[in-house]
Amino acid sequence: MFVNRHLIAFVKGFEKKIIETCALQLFITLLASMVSLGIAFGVRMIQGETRILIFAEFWQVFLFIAVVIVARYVLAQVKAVVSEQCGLAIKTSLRDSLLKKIFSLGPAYTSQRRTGDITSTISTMVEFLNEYYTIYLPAAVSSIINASIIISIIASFNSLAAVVCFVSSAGLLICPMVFYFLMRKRGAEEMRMHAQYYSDCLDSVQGITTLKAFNANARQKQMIHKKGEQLRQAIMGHLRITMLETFVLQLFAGLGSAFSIAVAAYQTAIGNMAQEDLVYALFLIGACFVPFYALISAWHFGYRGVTASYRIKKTIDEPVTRSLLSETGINHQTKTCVSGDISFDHVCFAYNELDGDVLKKVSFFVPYQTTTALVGASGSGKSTIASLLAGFYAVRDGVISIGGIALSAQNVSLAQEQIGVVWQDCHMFYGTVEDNIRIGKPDATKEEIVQAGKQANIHDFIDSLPEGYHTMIGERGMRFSGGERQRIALARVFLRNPPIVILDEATSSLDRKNEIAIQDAFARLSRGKTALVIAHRLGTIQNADQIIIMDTGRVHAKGTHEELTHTVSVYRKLMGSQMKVGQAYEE
Amino acid sequence: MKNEKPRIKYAFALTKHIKGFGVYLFFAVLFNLIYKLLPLITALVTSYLVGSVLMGNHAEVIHLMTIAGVLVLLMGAFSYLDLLVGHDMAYRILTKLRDKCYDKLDELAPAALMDKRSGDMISIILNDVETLEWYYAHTISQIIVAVMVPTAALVFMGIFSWALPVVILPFIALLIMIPKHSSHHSDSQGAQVRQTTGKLSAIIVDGVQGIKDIISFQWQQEYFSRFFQANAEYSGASMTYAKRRANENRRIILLIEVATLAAYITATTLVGYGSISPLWLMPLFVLSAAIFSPIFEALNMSTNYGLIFGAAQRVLNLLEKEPLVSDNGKTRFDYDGKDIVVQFRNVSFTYPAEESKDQNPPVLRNIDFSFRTGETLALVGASGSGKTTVARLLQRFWDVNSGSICINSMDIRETPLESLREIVTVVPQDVYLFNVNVAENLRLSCPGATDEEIRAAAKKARADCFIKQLPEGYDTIIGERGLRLSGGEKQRLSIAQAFLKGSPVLVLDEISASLDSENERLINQAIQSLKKRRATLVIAHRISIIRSADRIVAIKDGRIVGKGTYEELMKNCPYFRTLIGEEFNGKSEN
Repeated sequence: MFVNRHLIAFVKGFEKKIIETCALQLFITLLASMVSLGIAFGVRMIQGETRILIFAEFWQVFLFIAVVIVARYVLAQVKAVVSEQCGLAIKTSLRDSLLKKIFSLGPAYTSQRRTGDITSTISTMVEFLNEYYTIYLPAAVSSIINASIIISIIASFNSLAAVVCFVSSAGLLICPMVFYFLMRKRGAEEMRMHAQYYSDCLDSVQGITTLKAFNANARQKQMIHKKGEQLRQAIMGHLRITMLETFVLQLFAGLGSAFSIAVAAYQTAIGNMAQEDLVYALFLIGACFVPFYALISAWHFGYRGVTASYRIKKTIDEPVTRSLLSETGINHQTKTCVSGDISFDHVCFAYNELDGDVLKKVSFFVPYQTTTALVGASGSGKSTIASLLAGFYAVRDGVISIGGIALSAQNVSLAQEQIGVVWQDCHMFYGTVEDNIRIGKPDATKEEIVQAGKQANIHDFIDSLPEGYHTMIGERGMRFSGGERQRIALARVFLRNPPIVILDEATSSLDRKNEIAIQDAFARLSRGKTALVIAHRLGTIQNADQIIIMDTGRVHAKGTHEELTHTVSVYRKLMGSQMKVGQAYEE
Repeated sequence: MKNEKPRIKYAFALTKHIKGFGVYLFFAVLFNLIYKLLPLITALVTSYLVGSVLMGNHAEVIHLMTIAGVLVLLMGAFSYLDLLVGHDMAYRILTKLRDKCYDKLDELAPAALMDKRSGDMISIILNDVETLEWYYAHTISQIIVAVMVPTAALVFMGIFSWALPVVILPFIALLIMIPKHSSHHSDSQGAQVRQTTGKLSAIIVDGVQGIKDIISFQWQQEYFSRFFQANAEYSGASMTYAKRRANENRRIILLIEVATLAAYITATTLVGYGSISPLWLMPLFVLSAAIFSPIFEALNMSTNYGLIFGAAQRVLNLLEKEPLVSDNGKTRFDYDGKDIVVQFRNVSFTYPAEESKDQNPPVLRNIDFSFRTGETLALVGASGSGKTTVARLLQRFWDVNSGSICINSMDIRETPLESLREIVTVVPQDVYLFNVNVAENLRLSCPGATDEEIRAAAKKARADCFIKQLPEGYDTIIGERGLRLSGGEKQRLSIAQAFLKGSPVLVLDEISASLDSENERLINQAIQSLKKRRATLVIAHRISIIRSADRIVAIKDGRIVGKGTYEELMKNCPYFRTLIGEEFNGKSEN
């Protein structure tokens, strides 16, 4: 029988439901055995037996059988409902735990893994567990108990026949776990190929535009076909051992159900068993092994359950050094900070040890209600600063403070509450425009949303769409241009109205008119707030209260536009061509 | 529910995919047949043995015991063979089906899949196809066996007395009617289960890919509640399905038990009247029970037909979907260094409406312009004015509604898609990088490129410097969707890809050059060098890029409102002036 400590652990909190399910299945199995017993009684009566237990007449036996059949009929539906409820409850609980774990870990976890893997664990693996608990486990438990009872009865007739039955039953139960360890590697391989195939397909479909643009889609097809074949081979490699096991199980089952009867007949022939008992033995042995046949057919549910349990456990056990999910619930009313300034004090950070530090002893201070622009070459650390401020990662060294309070594992939600971010790759969720803006404040009224849309300068555009705010944004916002998506993301922040805002300003995807309008809107938004802008536009940089120049993870210089222009050559160079063009127009 | 067909049609459609596996099918059915007959024979032997012992006849005991033992061994052997051939065939068919589904997705995307979610589509390839394993590995042999074995048994019984088959047959008829009776519910419920499962997958994908936004907006609660609502819908569909299935199942079992009892009574009565020797009483009992075993198995599977045909519906609907753009062109582009002229001739286009939705507003109206080798044309206009659509139409992701797009006077619909895409390169606004290493991503555009060629292209795109600094340089695997590179870096990789591909027509779609001007300068240099000897269309916002174009076309609300050089448009086109704006006349807003 398939079982391990994880499968037992997952049951916690659902013990009652599982026991109910197993008990019901047990009753149903025992009722089936009683039908066989009843028929044996009937046959004995035909053969001349005058009284068996409480039955004196044939019709009484017949009635007994009829009652048992009806009882079984009724219980079958009850069991189905109970077991389905049990399965659904366990699945929902597991999915809840898994999601919470993933949201606790945050981008630090998800950016290291493929979406397909994570999806596969939450949807497919949990499904496998369901079948384990609702089909396999009850079948296993009831066949064991049923067999034990029957074998004891048979033992009272003849020990040899009972021994044959016992050996077969034991073999049927032990075999699966023995084979499991032989199969585990191949099973893991199959699951791995499965997840990889899923991720490859997903990756290809999401990037199909790029593939077609480069005429690479035909080649990608070949690659996917190859991966499909690899998946098939992994499945078959695994199945081959499975089938070997089925062969062994089948032998034990055949030994138990058929050969033991032959043995019983033989024992009777040589006088070690009473003739009457042989009739009972015939029917009881049948009743003993029928549930085992059902168990054999449910075999692969048991097997998949065990394999899924390992994968799920691995994810659930992922250590959380800093939880991004607050236990106490989310407070949407952002508090106004007494002093909502931002401070980075000798912050050192690396995404992982191999790549080295991305930020090296970065220190700066953004006073409350001022705007700071972060500039620098790609990869100089600007986006990382934004991610750290949003609390996604823990710093290796140094301190980040908001309003004088240092960010730590305990108060991550502090950062989340105070900040509104427009990421460079802002994600559009599957839903309407209104849904997407509403992310900023779930209980917002329609007026508030429209207002936010106006402030973000997206209202007119949305109004011009046939379905206005109810227009569906396709997956990942594919039907909207980059500029439109960014304005929707900005509307979210307007709606949220936090004291600290971060803007990753890839605004060069907007046309001039809108760029100015967004800058204007952002300036409006920043008024009275602490703002950190990963700046791209000359106007933004020049208007900032403070400019920080990043260079390969270090703060190269700080100051206002005038200060830097006069003192820092790198700044002049960075601003270089922008200024030249500007000067050309001043003439 | 639309697209629902009777089960028989699905069965036929599914069976078509077995083509090529005839031999497998034959052996699968044969082995399954033997495998299902063996228990019957074994049961006969043992019950006959019991019967003889009860009658006091001990002569053949050892003999029969040995036969029983051999039969048990054979059962084991055939169980292995049956599974082996059946599943080998099934998984080969499934793999072929998966390939076909993926190929179809490739054909349809992106145009025909605009309103679909990728998680859902992939669910079809993986989960729905997997469900069909039941059909291919089990259903066909099961049905054949469920017909042949009981027939053999009934015939055998009939040898003893016609009464037995007569009593049993009506029950069999009743049994077969049970799945037919609830097939409608079973199918629609099955489809519902599969659909809600697909939706659940899609929501997970959405959440994982948007986790940054969810966390920074503290939207977790909302997201979780959406997820659990989808989960609840799925649970509801699942429960409905399970209840109906259990109900079907128990009715089948009840009927079988009653039928068996009826057979027992008949056999007993016959023995009582002396028509059959008591020796055969046990065997006949056993046979009566055994007749129903293959029927039960087939029926048991049939309660799941709902799920199977639900999955079949999704898979077959996908395979039958028509793409929006048909690849019927025959004339290849012979690009031999000649000059190229790209013309948009009076092009109008509206995105096709989604099912049961209203028409979309037209995106392009009577667009007419051209550009040639050595020339850069800039397309300017407000966000959403249709500029990106121009690039998509040029790549034939959609076809124009009226007018035509011509390259060297040949309508692009007359050329195979693959040929068209070879000579047109688009550097996109949203760069999608794959989960392989940098070199492989670059090689996407030119599969035979050597390492030197890749490095040279990267240098020209000013990307080599940052690539070299990555932990494994060109061998660094870029995470899903290239997440760990900054926007500017992704852009430069995309430019390197364009260099590698080297096609004569270039479209630069709103490149958001990273913005430290040093880099912008470098990227502009890279683009200048990229544009040499190509026909370039630039979809632009940055003044520097617009200024460096030879000619400009201004689009407003899908129509052209101005054509000419920068100076001409500044003089003659008020809309253009607005677009360019006041950026350099009065820099600051405060």
